[in-house]
Amino acid sequence: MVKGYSKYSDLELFNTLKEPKHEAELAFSELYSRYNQRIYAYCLRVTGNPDEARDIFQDTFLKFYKSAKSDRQVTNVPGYLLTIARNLCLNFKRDRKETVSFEDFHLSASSDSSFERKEYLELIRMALELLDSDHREAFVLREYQGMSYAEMSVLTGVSVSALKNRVWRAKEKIKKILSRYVTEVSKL
Amino acid sequence: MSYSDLIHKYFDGELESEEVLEETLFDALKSDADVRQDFTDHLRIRSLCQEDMTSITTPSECTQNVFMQLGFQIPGAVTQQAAVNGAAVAPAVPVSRRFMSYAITALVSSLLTIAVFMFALDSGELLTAEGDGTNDNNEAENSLASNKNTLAAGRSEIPVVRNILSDDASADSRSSGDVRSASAATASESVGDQALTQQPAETEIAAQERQGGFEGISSTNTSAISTADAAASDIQASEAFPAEEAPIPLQDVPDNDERSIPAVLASAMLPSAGNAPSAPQIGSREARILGTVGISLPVNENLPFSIAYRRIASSTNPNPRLTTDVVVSDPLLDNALSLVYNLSPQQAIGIEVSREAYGQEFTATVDGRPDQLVRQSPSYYWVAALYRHRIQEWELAEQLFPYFQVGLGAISSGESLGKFSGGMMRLVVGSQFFLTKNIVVNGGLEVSGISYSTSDLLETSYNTGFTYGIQVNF
Repeated sequence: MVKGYSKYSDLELFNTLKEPKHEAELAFSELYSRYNQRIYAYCLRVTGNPDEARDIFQDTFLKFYKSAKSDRQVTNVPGYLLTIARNLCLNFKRDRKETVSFEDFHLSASSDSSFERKEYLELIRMALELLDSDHREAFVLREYQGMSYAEMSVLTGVSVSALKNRVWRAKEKIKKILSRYVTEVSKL
Repeated sequence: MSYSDLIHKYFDGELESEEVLEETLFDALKSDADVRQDFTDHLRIRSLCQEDMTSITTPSECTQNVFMQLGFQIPGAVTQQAAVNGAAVAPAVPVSRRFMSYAITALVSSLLTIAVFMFALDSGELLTAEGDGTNDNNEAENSLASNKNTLAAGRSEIPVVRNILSDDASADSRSSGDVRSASAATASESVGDQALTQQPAETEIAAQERQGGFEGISSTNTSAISTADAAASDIQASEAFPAEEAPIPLQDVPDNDERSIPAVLASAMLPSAGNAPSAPQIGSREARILGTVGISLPVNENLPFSIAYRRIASSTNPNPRLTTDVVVSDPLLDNALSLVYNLSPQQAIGIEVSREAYGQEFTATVDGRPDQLVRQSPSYYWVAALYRHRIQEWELAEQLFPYFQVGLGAISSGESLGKFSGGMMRLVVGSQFFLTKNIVVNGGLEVSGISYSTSDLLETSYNTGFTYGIQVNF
């Protein structure tokens, strides 16, 4: 975090990106420090692929900086970042084929009942990959990003009720996957 | 509505406004194990998701790629954050490696600077002292020093110079002329420049040194002596002042005067061997308090070059090696000019040149007369490769950042007294306050050290002081 700019709001920093390079760099560093983890987490969990997530993440911030230089008006900086990341994720999804099948997951998951917490984390990540992309995205935005349904609706352009339904279905599916292989969830 | 729906709504925070449904859910949780299991599963999933979220860390290579492609410096805070999160990140680059390139740059620049300074600019003829006898002729040395100061005064057109050449036989053998009154200074004005160029006198002096044994007098001093003698000879030839007239043993040289550097150094570099106290050597342990006022004017923000100018004030403290008669002189003002290449908003390298003076007042035996007050302000040129770093991550107060500057370079008297040269290191530790993005006020403490060789002795000096100034960005 760049302490000299830490007191500024997101919008002030975003507007500073239009300034000469020195000020822009400091503002960008501050914004990056605030949101890099959140954006990368979104990319990683939505794509389920670290390599794709890295590419999308980098492109997200590069596009973000360039668009800020082009005098774009933004009112919600993290939302704008997520919008860029989401669009890039959609582009990646369009260009690739889903490769993880339920059977693959079955083979890779342990049926041992003595799960450690770390293994549960790995299991829920893999369960996420089994979700339909729309359900996965809704679940990630809700449970990982902590966004409200209204915010999610603005970001995705999907109605609140549809998003609630997606999240509900995602949770039920994850529960089902987890309960299928873990009989001792309650012991966590 | 099923209990599963109620659980979903509960975790979405939608049951807070519907107390009846919330009561219904709580009742079911008390009585129904399946509902409790479902509720617990929801809770676990949320907990796992949050834990998973915090465990995710941006790979360091992503950060590097982003900042590199934007032409920015990679912020250290990102790496620190990753380390705190405990995620697998690329090993942090050691500090020594991070600054290695800059250190190498500074070192190479310094070596080049020293080489240029010592060889390219050294146009003087140097003599070597070959005397093999003991140097017990201290009065002769003092008288020679007096001659040098006379010459210095002549060059600077200082009207009040009272200098005495010794009647010592050795001195007479080299320099048969004496300066006895203030009017001699006027005479010296007309011959000072000429005297400085009279190299044949050096041969004569060298020969006499071999005969008389001026052991311990360096070639620098010998060179100075030769020019001083030549000047004195001319003075005597034109004025022929009697030796007994008006011996006023006070050499009054104003601070930071405009004397030529060789002449000033000739007066400064009195040999330490012999009957001290003589002039305190630069390499003695005198401490100077430095005050620096500077203005830095970046040429163009998009061009990473800056031109900086600053004034340096210094004063000399008593030399503990000398008697208590040595007193502190008034502060002297000097100028420094630097060209800086900004590697980033935080880091810069450059080169800085200056002529730095120090003042001194002391008593010495002049023309055989002890305890005569002598005032001098000799100076030398220095040039240094500098590295400046503002620690952007540490904000001491609002818009106040610490910084440090390291300089490594060389000192030299330059011109014909090229033997007086050595190394120098300077360190400034302070802070910079951004009044606006274009105006920066800085201040801090400065430590500098010089090392040089004179009279075949390696001398060192460590100085402390303070620095403050203003920087304007256009």
